[in-house]
Amino acid sequence: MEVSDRIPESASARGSASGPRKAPGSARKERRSLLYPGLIVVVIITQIPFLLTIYLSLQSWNIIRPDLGRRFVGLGNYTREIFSAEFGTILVQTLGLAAMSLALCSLIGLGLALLLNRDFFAKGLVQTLLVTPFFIMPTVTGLIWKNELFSPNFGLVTWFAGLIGLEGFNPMAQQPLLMVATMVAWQWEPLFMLVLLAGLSAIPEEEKEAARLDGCGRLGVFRHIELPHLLPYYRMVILLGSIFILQVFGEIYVGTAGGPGTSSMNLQYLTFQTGLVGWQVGAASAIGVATLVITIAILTTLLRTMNAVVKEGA
Amino acid sequence: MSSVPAQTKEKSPTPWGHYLQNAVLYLAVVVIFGPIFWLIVTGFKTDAAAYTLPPQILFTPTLEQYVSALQSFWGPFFNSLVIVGASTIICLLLGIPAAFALSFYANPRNESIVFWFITTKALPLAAVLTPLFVIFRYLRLLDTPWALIIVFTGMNTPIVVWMMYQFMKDLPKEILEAAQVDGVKLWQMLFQIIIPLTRAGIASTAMLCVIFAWNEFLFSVSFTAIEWQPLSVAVAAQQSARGQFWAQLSAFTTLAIIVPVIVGWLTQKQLVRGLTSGAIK
Amino acid sequence: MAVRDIREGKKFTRGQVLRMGGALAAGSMATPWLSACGGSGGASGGDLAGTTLTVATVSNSQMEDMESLVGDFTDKTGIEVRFLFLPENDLRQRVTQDVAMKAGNFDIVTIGSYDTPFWGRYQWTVPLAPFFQRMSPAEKKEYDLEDLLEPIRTILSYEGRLFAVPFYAESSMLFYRKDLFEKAGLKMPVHPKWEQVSGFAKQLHDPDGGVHGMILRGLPGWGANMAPFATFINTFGGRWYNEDWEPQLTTPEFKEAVRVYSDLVTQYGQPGATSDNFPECENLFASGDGAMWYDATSAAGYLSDPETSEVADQLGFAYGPTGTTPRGAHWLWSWALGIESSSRNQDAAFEFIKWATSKEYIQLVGKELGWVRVPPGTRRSTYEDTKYKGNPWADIELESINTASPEQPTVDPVPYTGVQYIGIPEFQQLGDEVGRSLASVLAGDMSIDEMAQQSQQQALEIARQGQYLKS
Repeated sequence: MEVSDRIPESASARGSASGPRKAPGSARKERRSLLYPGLIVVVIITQIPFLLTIYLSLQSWNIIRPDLGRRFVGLGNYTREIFSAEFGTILVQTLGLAAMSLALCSLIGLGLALLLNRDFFAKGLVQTLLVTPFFIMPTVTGLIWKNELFSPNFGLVTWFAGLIGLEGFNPMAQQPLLMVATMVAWQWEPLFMLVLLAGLSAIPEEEKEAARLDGCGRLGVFRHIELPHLLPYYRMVILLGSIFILQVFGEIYVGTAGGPGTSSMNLQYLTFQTGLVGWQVGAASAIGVATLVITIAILTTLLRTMNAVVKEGA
Repeated sequence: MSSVPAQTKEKSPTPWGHYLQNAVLYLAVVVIFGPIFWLIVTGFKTDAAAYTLPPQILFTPTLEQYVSALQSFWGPFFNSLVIVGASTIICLLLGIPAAFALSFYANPRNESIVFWFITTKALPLAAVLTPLFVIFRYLRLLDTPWALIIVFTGMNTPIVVWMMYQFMKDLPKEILEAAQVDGVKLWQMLFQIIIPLTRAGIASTAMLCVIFAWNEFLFSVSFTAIEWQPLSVAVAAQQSARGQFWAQLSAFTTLAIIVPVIVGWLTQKQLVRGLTSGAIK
Repeated sequence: MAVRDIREGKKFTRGQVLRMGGALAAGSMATPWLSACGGSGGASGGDLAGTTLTVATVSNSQMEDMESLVGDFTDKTGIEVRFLFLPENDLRQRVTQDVAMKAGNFDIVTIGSYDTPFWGRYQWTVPLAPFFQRMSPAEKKEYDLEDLLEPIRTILSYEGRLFAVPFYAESSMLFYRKDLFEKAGLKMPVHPKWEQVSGFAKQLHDPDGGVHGMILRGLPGWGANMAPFATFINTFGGRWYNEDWEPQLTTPEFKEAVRVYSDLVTQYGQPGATSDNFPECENLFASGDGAMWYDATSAAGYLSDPETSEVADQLGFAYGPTGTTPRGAHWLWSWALGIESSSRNQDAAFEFIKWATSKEYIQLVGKELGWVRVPPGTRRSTYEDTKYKGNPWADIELESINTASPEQPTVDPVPYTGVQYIGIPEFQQLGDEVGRSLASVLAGDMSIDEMAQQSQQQALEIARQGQYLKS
């Protein structure tokens, strides 16, 4: 971030012919008055429940066993839930799911953006239709996958697979995590597509002309001009997407219910399972706090990595 | 060096390359939009027809499913409109000035604050559900629109801050500095310069807020009963014990997704435009 | 259906919409207006007309029928009723949250026989005896509490006190296709054994001809695949825990139960069984996809209705098959109506649940919707005095309910009650976990021994966590 472009709060207002004439304190006050309402509201709405969650994570509280009451157990929830094999497996699944979804979105979004970055017949309609999955409710997506497309007895794709000779076609049971990834990718590739399309259309035509004159083929133009230009766009959409993709719930809830076994569960679903099916609020809170820490670590790493990639590509 | 005008899109050197690319795109539309199209179409079938294989493409359409779906549609639809509309407006009112403050005034903490906003979204919803339920029950806000409005505001304001920050970060400084020299007051600058300049960004950010709130399920089902049941819950309620993908469920679902889809269709160009004007660097 | 209007609550005129939209933007006027209208405006007892009740219920067809007929109730009492329908899992989660935190969003809830005893224990639903006592002698005679089947009343009670009235009840039975059996020259005994059934399944299994030998639930869930599977555990001589709450899931009896179940599913079952719960199985069998189906007796009506079932004329019924012992071979379940203790309209609510479980209601359904749609399994009079007894499955259904023995579901003594579930709150979690393991076996991802080991471990965890096991 180029700090020099900003209006420095403590800059001396005197003597600079083109600089702003402002007393240093008032800029700070202005900033505060703009920032604080939003900041304070978000703090209240998110941090108070969060503090409660931390408090509850140190308790053992089973809502449907009021006879057992609520007792303080210190870090007992953490040691039992977090350091279990199941948590580790589900963590790996969460990461794998996110990685697969992001990879699919990045590739499909790029492909579609490249194809859309031209003029052709019915372009507006095509783009509009391709964008639609993003606006579908995640629970509806789960229904579409589970019943309409891949139901072992009535699904469209199952029927089609039967036509071409595939028997026992049941990917929702055989490759559940991959199927969840396809659901997530279907829902999120429109965002990738749009952002990358914006990036592509921002590239000056002259640069591409120059590259072509230098002898670059289509692939060369892509590698040397388009891809580097897209890096900041990728950074933005991958970060934005990750926040949500790490936490997908609706698709899993309706589509596979975390199964078979626990093979398509992610951390978000595990928290739900523990807290709202098993009614172990303390344990679920502990899992939630752990998930938070892990998610922030992932986001930070992603941010740093992508910043480095962008800087390198510029 | 203002925003880049629309580029002439390149045409592929060979005509069949052009048609091939078109064909791939049309195929992509079938694969990607197909399931939604099938959903809409199934709503026009009778229950028996909806479930036969091979899938019936030609059939006598009936409106009975949509008529029946509409009867239980309007209540939840209105609830969703109120809840989502109110929370989106509040998010924009809180988030846009905040984003402006973070992008305009130099401060070493700005980037961290933006990042902090995003991290508020990292806590699993299921973990905060019970504490929130307890709080809302104590405040007697259950089955009122306010519980969800508050929750959605907390969920989406960070998005507004983050996205608008990206859009505002690279606004041309000269205009703003000139305005300051001219003695333009802060709020005027915000409303008369910044917001018009970032109109596309605001539209697309609002679109995201609407989509995320409209489609949310877990909080929606927990904090409402009947009076304020939003559409996302009503869709789930349509699944009767016999319901898999019956025609009525399809009809209801189609009705339920109309608003987000149309909002999305209208604003998708805004998103592209907002991002194209050099906002990402 | 004519009376569906009640479900969506309020209808707003355009003017109201605009006004409320404007008010909301100002942010002040909307809330008091909206909370004043449509709230539970019950007065201080006495005059109940004009009250509005809120019912949270599963979206089963019998409940939907109840909603369609509720005009009868409103006409008689002047009390309005609104329904919240949700799929069972969502409903249970929503309602449990509500009662546990005493939020009072609902007046009446449908609860299963599984939940009722501990909800009663925790005073989440009100004991109904005081309400029954307050009825006039004429009302008592008309309602006839004793007419409700004894085993059902027992499972809906805690320490002898009734906490919910049954809306419908079921056991489990074997449905089979008489036409397919005739064609193959086979005869189904009235009390079959699983061994025989497996034999039949093998002979009738014809996937190319579109018929699978045996349809069974495979979807993981304590109320999904665990329901039939738990009866397997019982009838092959196994049990979940011994009297000291030590898990018994690695015994040869348990493994035998798993073996028989998974063999049936993997060899003669429908493809993708691990996605199939009751509705999917019912749909398959009704479209002629299976030769036999073992599941709830409450499906009999749907299967016998030519409007919904293609095999309505070919139905045969048999008792739930047995393994090495008839104990616990068929289950017992009831969906019942209870009154939330934080409800502010308990008297009005009682009127409603009285109406919905009365003899008159049964007659009403029979006349208006047909005798195959009557909510089954609750009253002796349904089986003796009404046209319901003309249904071919009625005898088996009644007998199964009467002999299900939830207090002694297994050969060896156990510290819990319940046939296809254990009457502890933690069973939801345990049942879900074991159900998932079972699904893995059905999908071929896990061996029976592995599954037994894992289930044993999970059962141990639960016993310790819930402080049943003193270890």
